[in-house]
Amino acid sequence: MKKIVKSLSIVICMFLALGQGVLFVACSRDKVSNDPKIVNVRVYKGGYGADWVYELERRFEKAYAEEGYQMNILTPSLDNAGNVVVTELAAGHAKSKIDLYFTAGVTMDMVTSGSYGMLVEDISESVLAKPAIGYDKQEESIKINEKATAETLKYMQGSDGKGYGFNWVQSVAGFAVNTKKLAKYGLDLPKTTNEMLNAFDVIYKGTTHNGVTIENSEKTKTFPITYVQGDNGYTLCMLNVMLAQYEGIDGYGQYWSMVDADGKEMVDNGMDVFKTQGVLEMLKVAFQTFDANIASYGTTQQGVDQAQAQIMRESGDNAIFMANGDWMLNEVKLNFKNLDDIGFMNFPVISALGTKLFGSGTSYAMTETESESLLSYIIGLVDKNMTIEDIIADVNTNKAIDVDAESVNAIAKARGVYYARGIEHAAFITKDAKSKDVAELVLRMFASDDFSRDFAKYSNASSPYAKEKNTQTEYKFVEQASEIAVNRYMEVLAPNVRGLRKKVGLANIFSHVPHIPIYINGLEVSMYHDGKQIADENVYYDAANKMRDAEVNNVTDNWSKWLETAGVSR
Amino acid sequence: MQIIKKQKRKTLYSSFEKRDFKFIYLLILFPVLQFLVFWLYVNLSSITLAFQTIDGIFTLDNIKSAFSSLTKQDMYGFNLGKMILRSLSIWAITNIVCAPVAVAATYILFKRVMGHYVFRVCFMIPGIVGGVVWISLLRYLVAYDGPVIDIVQSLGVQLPPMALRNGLLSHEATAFPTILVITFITSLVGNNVVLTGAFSRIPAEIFESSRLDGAGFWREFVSISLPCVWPTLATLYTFAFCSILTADNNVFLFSQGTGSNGMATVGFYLYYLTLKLSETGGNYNYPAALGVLLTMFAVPIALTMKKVLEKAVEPVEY
Repeated sequence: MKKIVKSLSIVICMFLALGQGVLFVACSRDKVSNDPKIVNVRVYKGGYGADWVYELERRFEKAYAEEGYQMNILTPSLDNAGNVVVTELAAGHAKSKIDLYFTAGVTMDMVTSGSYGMLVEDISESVLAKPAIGYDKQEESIKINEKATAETLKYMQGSDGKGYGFNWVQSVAGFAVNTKKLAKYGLDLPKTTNEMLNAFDVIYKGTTHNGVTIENSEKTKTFPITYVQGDNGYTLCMLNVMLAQYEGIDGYGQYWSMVDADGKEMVDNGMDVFKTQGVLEMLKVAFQTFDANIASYGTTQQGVDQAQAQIMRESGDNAIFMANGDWMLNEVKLNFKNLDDIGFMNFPVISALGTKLFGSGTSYAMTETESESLLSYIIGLVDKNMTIEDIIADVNTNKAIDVDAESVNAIAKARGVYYARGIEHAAFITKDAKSKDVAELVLRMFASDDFSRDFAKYSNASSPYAKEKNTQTEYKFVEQASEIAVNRYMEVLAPNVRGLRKKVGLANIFSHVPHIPIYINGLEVSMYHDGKQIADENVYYDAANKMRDAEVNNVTDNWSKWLETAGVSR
Repeated sequence: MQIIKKQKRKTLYSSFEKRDFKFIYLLILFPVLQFLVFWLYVNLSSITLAFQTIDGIFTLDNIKSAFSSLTKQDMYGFNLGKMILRSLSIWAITNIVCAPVAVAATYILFKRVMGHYVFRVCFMIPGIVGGVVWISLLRYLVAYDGPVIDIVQSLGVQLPPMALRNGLLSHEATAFPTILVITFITSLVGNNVVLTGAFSRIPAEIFESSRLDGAGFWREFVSISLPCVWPTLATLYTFAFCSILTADNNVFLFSQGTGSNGMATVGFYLYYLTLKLSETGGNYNYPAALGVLLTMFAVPIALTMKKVLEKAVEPVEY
């Protein structure tokens, strides 16, 4: 017996040792090359995966086989982001040997004017001002900086105006919607916030559609919305977009910079950026959207995966809408097969914009319902990518209303605004990289029409250099997301605290409240209870007003102190 | 004279000894450097920052702000006074309520009661399992669909609707009490390994002698074992008093990095604040002032309690 136990122990130990050995082999370090013809590449592997970079490698090496140019891709990782990359860049190419980074969470400030100084190569002339290169090594007819949008290029510039970053994915934020569940209620994708909130109302209270009665959410366990708690920023994307829709891009810029239209820092009245009607309207919609009483069970304590599961599944506690981004599909692909059930839409346009443009205080003097209807109609035309003139003509013909170009333009711009987390996804060539020339060719091929199609195919996302929506994909979700980024009125928003606001340290969207929606959940403001409506929408307005007042008061109370601490004199 | 010379020669070190000294100096050089850079420099820098504006000009504003946040919300929306109370609550449960129980429980296991190996392994599991995994498990237990809510309700406790929808950590009325209960349960097995080691050092003869004198199990524990392990307990308590204001029991993980629903503690806030400020280039003067203020509270407490603990029980040599 003892002999058997001993033999068994030896066998088990050998297996364990072998297992350890295999693990160690798997942990072997990536090898970097010193050959100037081989470009060492580090890649961030997040929601878009890394299959696309291997396709780029295959295409690039095939095209440049004669010259012997190659890409040496080091193991892609989620860690190749933020300060990890900055620290490695700061170590210098001589130590890291990395020539090219495809990163996330690295801003231009960090690599051009941070505490380490200039860490990357200027690619304004060598890449951005040159045409992209196709798979056949032929240059395209237009330059890369003509293919990318002006907004995208702006975010890739250092403070000296030169281009240092190379945006590698659009990364559109918006609402992931389970359209299959939505259709059961007879609802379409909403275009305005009122349409969305009406849809929430129908889903929560229940309805009868096609002769089928659907009970309220407390009974069906299908809730209008779910979201992610903690420091997750998906919901903040919506808040930013609504603010930009109502106040315009300039107003949005003022909110995040505390620099007025004349370019002067608002040293005496920085708190005024919180006093605008746009902030109030945005908060009102936020309070109603993130009302914890209509969110699915578990919402206020869950992570991203749990929230996404609530969107994907039909039984148990589940939901229909979730603020997310085009990266979601890759994240749910492994665990869910019903990918055709989900669709993607930009954050709806804030309905208050309709009242602002056509309401009682304007020459149109429309009721709220009328202005909402007109707003929604015009958004539909914007989604069809029609010109302003055509939209005006269409409204005149079909609605018998003479709308002015300025109003239509404001709506088109509001609809075109989308929050791009892609701006956080930039590629950089390391300062003094040994394979700088080859790395530049890699980036130029990345920007080609040829690779834009493959990028869309392998990443289920959109290349910033694509001019058309992603038709390579088999998923409706991806196609709908890509459509947002190629609309003629599109305007990119990105996290960009700057100017006086950065100096005084107001990095978050609000100064004194915890993360949204945590703050909203904490107040427990709701017009719903137990599957029924128990109050009117004014509860959200009241809460929004109180929060805005508290915000203004906090900034006013602390303003002098912040200025002094920041070393800014009045 | 010759004798004196010989004596002097004896104090000269041989080349082997010199080599040993070099080795020892090099050995301690690294920790000394670490101390100088990561303790001395960091703390001096913190204290200096507390009394400066971002431009390095002397000011008391940071300290004033820190003081005023004891009673009202600070500019970042947190109330230091409330956070200190929460930290003290966690500390009190760990070190006043649970520590005596933990010492007794360890002693019982040390006495090899039936199944003591099983209990010991169970006690060590929280220490072996990573913090993130452990907290995830606990978060599930107190989630809306976890078992704890059912148990609490079956005991007749009325929970707020939000807690029923989203779990005990989702409402201000239940979030921090939940943290306290978790602290209580997990602290019952605290310092098990260290105390077992201390009890094991007590010579068996002392126990034999006490038994011959007729001492029972608890008499032996109180009159023999506790005095014998008192130096270890005093050290553990001294360390505990040093961290009296920074006890946070993983609030960062429980609240997913937000400190929401009334869970924020001092330890959490100092980390949270520094993290947030680092996103805007790092104006660390205010957090430095908070650190100085808290140190002013904690140092006298720690030093006084150290003296008290050292004098509380006569040291026992064995």
